[in-house]
Amino acid sequence: MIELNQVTKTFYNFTAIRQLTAVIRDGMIFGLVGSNGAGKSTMLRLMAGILRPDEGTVTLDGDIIFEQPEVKQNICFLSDTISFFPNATAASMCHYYSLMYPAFDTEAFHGLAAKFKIPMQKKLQTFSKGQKKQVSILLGICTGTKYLLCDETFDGLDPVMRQAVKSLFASELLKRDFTPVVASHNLRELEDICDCVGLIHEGKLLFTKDLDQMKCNINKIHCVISDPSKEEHLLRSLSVLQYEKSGSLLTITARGPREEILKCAMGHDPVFAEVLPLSLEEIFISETEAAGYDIKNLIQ
Amino acid sequence: MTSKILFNKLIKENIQQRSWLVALSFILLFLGQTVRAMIRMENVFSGGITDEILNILQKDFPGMINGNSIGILSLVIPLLGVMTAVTGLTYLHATEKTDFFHGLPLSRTQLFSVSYIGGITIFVLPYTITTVCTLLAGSFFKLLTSRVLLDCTLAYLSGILGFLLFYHVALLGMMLAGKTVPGLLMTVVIAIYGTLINTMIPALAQLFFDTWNGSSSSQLDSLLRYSSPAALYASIISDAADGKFAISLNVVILLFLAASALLILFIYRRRPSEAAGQALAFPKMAPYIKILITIPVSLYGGLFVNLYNSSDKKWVIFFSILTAVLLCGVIEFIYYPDLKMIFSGKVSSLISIFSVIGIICILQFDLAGYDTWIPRESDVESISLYAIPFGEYFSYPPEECSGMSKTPDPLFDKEGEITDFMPLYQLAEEGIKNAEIGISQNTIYSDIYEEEDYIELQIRYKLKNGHDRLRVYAVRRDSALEALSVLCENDAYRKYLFPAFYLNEDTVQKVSMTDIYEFPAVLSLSDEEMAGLIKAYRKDVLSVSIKELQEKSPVGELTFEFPSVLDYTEYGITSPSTKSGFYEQSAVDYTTSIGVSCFFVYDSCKNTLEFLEDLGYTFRTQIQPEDVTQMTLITGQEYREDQMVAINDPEEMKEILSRISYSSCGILGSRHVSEYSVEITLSGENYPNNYPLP
Repeated sequence: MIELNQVTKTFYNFTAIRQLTAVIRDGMIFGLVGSNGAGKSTMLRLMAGILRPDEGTVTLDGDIIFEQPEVKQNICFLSDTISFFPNATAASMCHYYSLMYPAFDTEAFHGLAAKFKIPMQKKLQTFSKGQKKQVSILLGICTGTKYLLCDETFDGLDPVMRQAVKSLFASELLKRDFTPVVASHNLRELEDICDCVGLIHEGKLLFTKDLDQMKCNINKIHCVISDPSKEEHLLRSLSVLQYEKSGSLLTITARGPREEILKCAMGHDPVFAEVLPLSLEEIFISETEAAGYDIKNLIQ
Repeated sequence: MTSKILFNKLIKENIQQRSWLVALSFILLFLGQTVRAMIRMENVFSGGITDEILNILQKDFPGMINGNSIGILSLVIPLLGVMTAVTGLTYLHATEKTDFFHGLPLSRTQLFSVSYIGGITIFVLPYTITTVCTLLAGSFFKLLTSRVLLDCTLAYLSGILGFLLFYHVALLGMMLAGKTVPGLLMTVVIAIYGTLINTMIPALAQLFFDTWNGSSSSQLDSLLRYSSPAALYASIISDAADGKFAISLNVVILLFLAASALLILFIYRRRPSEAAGQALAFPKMAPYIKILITIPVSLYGGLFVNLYNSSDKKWVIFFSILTAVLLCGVIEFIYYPDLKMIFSGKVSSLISIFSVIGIICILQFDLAGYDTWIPRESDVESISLYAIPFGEYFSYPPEECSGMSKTPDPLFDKEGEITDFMPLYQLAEEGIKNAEIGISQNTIYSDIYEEEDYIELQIRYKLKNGHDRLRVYAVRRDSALEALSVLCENDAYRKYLFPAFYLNEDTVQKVSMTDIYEFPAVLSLSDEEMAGLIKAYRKDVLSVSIKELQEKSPVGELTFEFPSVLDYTEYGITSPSTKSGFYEQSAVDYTTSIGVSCFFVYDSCKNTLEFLEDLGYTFRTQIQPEDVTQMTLITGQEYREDQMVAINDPEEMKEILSRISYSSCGILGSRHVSEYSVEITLSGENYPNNYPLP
């Protein structure tokens, strides 16, 4: 696992990461979400061993990552701004990566490039931004590293390509010990791929939670209860995060399993009661408001 | 990545990524070295191959390998050094590239090593190929001997060292900066900073100190070739081209390369990745860099103005301060490309500007007491003297023909050190008093002191603590004459000073005498007579009064002739033109002899005059009127027609002839003459002689 322990990173007079502690466990897809300038890229670059932390430690299975080539061989970093060598082709980059990463699967890369119709001998500088990202992702996946750190990787990909990449990630997860860490400011993008998400804001990691657990434990119920006293009792009975009344329709976001919440609501003689799925965005907003942060405007 | 094979593969990748630079290196080196050398050899040999020309070209050939005798190549090598460094480390100046490289499973040491070795290979490979081609061309022109081949090898290695010097400097510049342009500026500063300081100090001293002696900077001059990477480069290629191997120079270069490599690596390992895109990789260095650059460059800026207005120091002061102010703004703009920021960094700007002002004040007002300094008598071991007029009065035979190891240098030779130095000490005191009232080497040649009688003296104090101090004073001629007379009471000093004692009878080919008629007459003397003449002359020189050498005109002078330069090869001396490397521009035409004159004969030189008279030679002391075909009085200095008066009256002619003498030259400078002169055309001659009138 990758562990960040009380890490602080300051750029000149600006503190990008502040006393951050986080654990990225193996074998899951970790999503890192935050607004622009929150510190996502900085955190990834610390984990990739590109930046040296001013305070704290960044370790992989207990070993410091910075300036340790043997440790860094387990990590591949895909930056949001793609950089290739001048006049490089997909083939030449494949060759270069194979030198750098002993586990690089050249055959798999060639196969994937063919599948995604990437010309191997064409200069990469003539590719579109999306195509360059495709090449970058394929290179990253084929390095065979344990950790693949993706900084806003899905931006610039078309929906089909996005789905394809997600499938690739899932496939790799099944095949080997693989832990992608995907940073994005787009919650909807992460929703259907990540197992665990962390929210970073102004250099601090507000929380890290398992997505399924989050979804299981928070539910939204729409109901109509004619008796105001029963309505009030219902609100007291549930672990309410948020509620809203529009006319007679009551919308309650409460912590607890779906069945329990529905059973509780049915016990108050509702005219109508329905449990609805929450989007990741709604869960985040609720959780962060509960944590005391009003960050409705921070995430898309 | 630990294996050697993988490391080599990465170096190969690195070179392939910069394959355009390999091609460019090859083209520049081929054109600048091989092609240029072939053109030169072709041009020289087109006039026919002689042994002398072959010899000259063989001596010049190593310089064609390392650029010492091919200007363009001497620029290409440093240029490639800088380009190789810039392309190797340019990734540090772009965030996305830094992320890419620093995200790879390589340590910074490994990354740097790959780039470093790749860069060296990018130069060495083409340079080796083109050098071999040049050698083959030289072989075709039959230039290669074992000696020449050895010198060429030395030159080739010096070219590589020269490349490495600039390569390391540029690597350091790129490492300290976060952007390429500041990196290049940093490279230029590092490359020449030491030389800038080294040359600036004597230039400022020369300008501000009235008693500054140019030889005072001899220590600085000796350090000049080590003062900066650029100076080291110029020195190494020059030495190698001449077949010299200076151990100290090579050791200094190797130490510099080793130290700079370690420093670069040290900096890289501490360099933050986020420095990419910033002007400086370590922003805390910004004020110090600004101060270190602003102070010398501002002072140099003032000196540069002095080239156009050499006498007025106020412009130097003004422009130095102005340069300091402007430079502070420019540097801040380089740090933060924003016009609003040029006034930031106020503390460092103020320190820079006030330091420049402070240095100028110290110099201008001589706050350190340079001009008024004189050592205590008890601290002085000896004093040496060199009067500037000595350069015109004394003319020494070539060293190879005198049998002496060197021409005398009264200021620095042991023989010139006067232990009984009081006369010179008093002279120095007079010089200091004069300097305090504005009479110095910088003013005595101006119109203000035209009628005065001051001369310039160089003094060397040899102190008991082993140190030397040099000064230049302006003193009255008669004071200097008094002091010189005292010194010349010592025969040993006379024998050291006067050229007569450097004549070697074995090497003198012939002697001629010139009197007031200014027509040299060759004396037909046997070897014994020649030796006798020299002996007689020396006797006279030992006894003549120093005051006579100044106050009286000689009756004439002897000129001794010595063998030509070409024959000097027997003595192992090469022609001066080969050293310059521009042999095809100088005439391959040597004179058959060299004449050394200024062996003045005075009225009191009885031994010499009698010896010559016995042989039938007499110095005529006055021009006879019947020998004059034309006489013109010149009443000004411009030779205009309205200033020329023809003299036809025999009485006037006689009067004028009685007043002219052979020479106004004295041991301590020319005697004063009026602005009038006379041109006399003697019978049998086509051109007039000019004689100043007292």
